[in-house]
Amino acid sequence: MKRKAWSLRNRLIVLLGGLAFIAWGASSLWLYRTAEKQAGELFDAALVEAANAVFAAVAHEGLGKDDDFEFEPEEHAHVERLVYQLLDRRGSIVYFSPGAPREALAAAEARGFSERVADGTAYRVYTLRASNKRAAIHVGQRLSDRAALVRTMVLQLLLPGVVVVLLLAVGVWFIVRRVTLPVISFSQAIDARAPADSGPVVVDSLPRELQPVGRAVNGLLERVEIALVRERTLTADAAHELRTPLAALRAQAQVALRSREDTERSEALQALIGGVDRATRLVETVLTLARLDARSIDRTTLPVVSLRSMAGEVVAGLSAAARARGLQLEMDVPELAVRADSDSLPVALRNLCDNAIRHATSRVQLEARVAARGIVITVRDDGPGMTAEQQSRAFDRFYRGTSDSAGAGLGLALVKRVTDLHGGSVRFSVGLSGRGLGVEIVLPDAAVNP
Amino acid sequence: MRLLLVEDDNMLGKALRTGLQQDGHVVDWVQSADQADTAWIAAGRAAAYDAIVLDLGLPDGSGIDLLKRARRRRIATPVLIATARDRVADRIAGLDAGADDYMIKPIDLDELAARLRAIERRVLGRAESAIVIGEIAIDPATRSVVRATQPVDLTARELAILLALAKRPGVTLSRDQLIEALYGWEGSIESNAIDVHIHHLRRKLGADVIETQRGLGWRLAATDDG
Repeated sequence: MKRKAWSLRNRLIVLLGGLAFIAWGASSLWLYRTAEKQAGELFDAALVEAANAVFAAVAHEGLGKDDDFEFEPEEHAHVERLVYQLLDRRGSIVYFSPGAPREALAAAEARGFSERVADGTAYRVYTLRASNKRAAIHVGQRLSDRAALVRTMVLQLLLPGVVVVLLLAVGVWFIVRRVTLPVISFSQAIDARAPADSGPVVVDSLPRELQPVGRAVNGLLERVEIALVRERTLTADAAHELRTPLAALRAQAQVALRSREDTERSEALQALIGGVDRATRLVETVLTLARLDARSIDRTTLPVVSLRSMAGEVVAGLSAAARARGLQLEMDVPELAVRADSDSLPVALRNLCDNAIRHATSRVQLEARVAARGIVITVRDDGPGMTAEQQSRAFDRFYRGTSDSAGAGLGLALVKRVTDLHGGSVRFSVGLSGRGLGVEIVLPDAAVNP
Repeated sequence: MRLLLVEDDNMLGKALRTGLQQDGHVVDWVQSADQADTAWIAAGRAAAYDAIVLDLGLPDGSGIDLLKRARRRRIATPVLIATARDRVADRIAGLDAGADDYMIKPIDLDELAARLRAIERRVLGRAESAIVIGEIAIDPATRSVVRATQPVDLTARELAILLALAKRPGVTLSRDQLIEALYGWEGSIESNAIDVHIHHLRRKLGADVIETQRGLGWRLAATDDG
């Protein structure tokens, strides 16, 4: 089941936006609570103030002596709508301000702050009693008024916060897009590349966090490029190497066709058959190489095989050819269990021995031993050997040391490929009795620990 | 024609040599740039090749380099490149390096022969394919000789001598030059072999066709229309 890919960008935007929103909410809540508390204290102070003022006025005029004192509270937008009640020593209301309830705003013995429902309305009340208990003053304020005032205040404080959060969200969106832009342009740059362009991606201009990705992409591109170049060179060389024997076949056929002498014709036909055999060998080798190129071996799961029996089969298969050339084909392989691919390793050994047989003067030796660096397999001959220049190019595909047409220059390339598959190496060493050529394969992982 | 074949592939070289010999050419075959250099460039003007058939991919160097080296030394021997390199850029590079013709493998032997005849015509400044000297007409393409409307049957050697002489009517060719043109590197021949062939040619074509320049060699009698 395919899951929808999640977006780094969207996730960042949502998470950062959400975080800003939560921060704003929390700060708003805190602001509301603080504002409520502070405003409550301020309102309470106003109640005390008002009570003191009324008391001072009443004490001066002499409460009860002059019953007809009146005052008109000034209408003002910010005046908290306070109500007063003046009570005599018996507790009856002798005066109340306009809008004040008929009911007492506080209990008979109340003093200081209290809350009470009077005439169906909740009030916060401050009660001031004269020290001689001759009179009391209740100053009250509707609780709903107080709450409404706090709400208005807080809303006015929070409004800029909303704008800030919105701006923050836009900022987050912009910054996230901006910061993730290299990722997008990086992928677009890779996307927009021509199919044949396998040059490296520019890593230096990438942010530090993306550089490992860039390097990984470059590593991949490099491997692809190497494979491509190998493919291309092989194809070009194969085209050349296939065309020449085919051209020879055609020319020989034409020589046979035009010939008026029987010996010339049969010579040409003989050459034609030889040419077909050669082309067949070439095709087989190219196919083997192509198969090996496409393969990769998991060296840990290779089967354990007997190197001795493997080498024995190779030597047995070539003994006729060696005998035909009057050569001694020697094998010196101990009974060794090795981890090796039983398909490709014998091909490599056969190629090496076949080469040696073609160039040796009297002896060819196949030898194997265990060394610290792994299993070492060596094929030596006492032929003319190779020059340093020939050795340096001998593992290249289609490289032929001489114009000897027996091979297409693929044998050693195949050996190299097989050892590569086994994680090993191949190099030239000394031949037999100080002359000739030795080829040494080292398979480091092939040893089987008892 | 006397040809130098430069081809590293054993089998193709053998086939081309035999094919060219079937066409009556004398072929020396070398398999490396080094040997070609010795046989052709180092020998300089002494080398008597009428044309070089040159492969480009040689084991010890490029045929193009060999060709450029020859042209730098003002060696004008016609060169026909015969190669597996089939890209247009390769063909242009080959011709610009001084080649007279360019053929891509696989090569048809008959086409190769025709192209070599064309090269020879250009070198000799002839427009027509057939060579006419007096009442004798030679067609190098069909390798047929006609004397006054009567076909004449010549052996390969006789035809080669006649063609060598007919290329430059009136010019004397020495015995050594004729041997060179006829046998290449094939080694020892009978000392009087050339005389025997000349004798037969005179019998078939008329005694006055080939003049003997005593001590110098032979030439075809220059005729008014020759």
